Amino acid sequence: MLILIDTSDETPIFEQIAASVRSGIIDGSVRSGDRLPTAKELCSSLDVNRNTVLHAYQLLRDEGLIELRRGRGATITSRADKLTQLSRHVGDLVRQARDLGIASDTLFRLVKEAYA
Amino acid sequence: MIASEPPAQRPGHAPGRRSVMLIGVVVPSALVAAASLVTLGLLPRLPARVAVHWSLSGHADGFAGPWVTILVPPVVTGLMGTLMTTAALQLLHGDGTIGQLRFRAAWGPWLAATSLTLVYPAAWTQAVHPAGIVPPWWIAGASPLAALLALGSVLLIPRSAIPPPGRDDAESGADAPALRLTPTQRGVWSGTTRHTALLWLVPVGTAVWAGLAVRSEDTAVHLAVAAALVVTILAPWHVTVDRSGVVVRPFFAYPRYRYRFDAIRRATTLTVRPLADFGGWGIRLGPRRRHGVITAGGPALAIELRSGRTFVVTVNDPDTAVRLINGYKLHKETQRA
Repeated sequence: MLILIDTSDETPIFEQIAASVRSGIIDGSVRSGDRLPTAKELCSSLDVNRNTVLHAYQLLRDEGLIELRRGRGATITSRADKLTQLSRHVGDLVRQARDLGIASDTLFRLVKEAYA
Repeated sequence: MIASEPPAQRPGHAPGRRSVMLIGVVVPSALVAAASLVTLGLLPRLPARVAVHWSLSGHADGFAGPWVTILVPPVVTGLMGTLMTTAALQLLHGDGTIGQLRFRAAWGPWLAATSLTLVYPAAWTQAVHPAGIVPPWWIAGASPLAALLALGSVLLIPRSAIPPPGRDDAESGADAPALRLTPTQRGVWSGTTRHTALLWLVPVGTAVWAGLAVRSEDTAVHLAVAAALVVTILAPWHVTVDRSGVVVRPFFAYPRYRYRFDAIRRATTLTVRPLADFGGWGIRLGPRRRHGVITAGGPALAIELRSGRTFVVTVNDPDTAVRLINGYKLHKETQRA
């Protein structure tokens, strides 16, 4: 699993860490059962504050993508596999929309209306 | 490059192949099978419990039914000899050394020599004398004698069995593009080793063997060996790449491999065949100055070091690790320039 941050980016670091884990799940390189590095390891690897890492992990936990257990660190949940599958469907959807010449704004509106 | 060179070399290696097969598996299996048949002929005269293990003072401390003595040595010699000879034969196509070839071919002869110097003669003495006549000097001498016989037989494999080095057709690692890191970017990659489900057979088989075949105080030692195998081969190893370098360690932290970027020449991905390339699983040494942690066949991260050695670890998703390692190297080189 690759976690990439950019200190010159305006997005908060904890958001960037969470986004890296999410994109790993979406491209399928991170699967359910995989362990995330411990907060201690990650904060020394990335040279960031430990609370920043914990903040990112709490965010991912609230999204149901990871499970936090004392002594065992962070583990990717089975919901991650569902997200991987869903992202494949989204890829298909976007490809179809492109083939039909539908603009992204129109597609977004369609998705929003379907959710409502 | 001379196009006609490889066909001219082929016939020269056929004798090498034949001698490895004969010494590694055919002759040992045939000898053990013959001894097993002799034991089968003596079956009516053998006691119900045949001594199969002795303490160093010469007292029998492990017993088994006569059928164990008849069947286990030929099966074990045949299977192990075939497995390790296959691994040895695959070295003929790579660029292994004659020492590595002989070490792999030695398992069949060693098992056969142990059966023929100790297990079978001891069983035969029990056919004439129920308690068996196995003097201590025999027990003490049999193991070194078996090792000498195995060593002597693999020395019969000619040095010329291995093709001469120098042809640069050896498979090298596949290059992967470097991840472009800006000065403000930092990345960390972490992964764990993959495992072959079949590997569970090793410790489970050892535990069953320890539990069933030989009931003695050695059972505890066998079980400890099985447990050690589980831990060192099957427990996942963690691989981390960050700005300080590459760290590879099992979950309990030791032994640990650590490489800083200035010691690394480049990172590549490799396809590993554990038996052919490393002679098995675990912490291994292989030909082409390779060493590493081998837990399953398939893609692996290969770190070519400035020392000329290559460290290999069979980890999931090695491509991303390679891109980050090469990215950090590029980043450090441009920083220096």
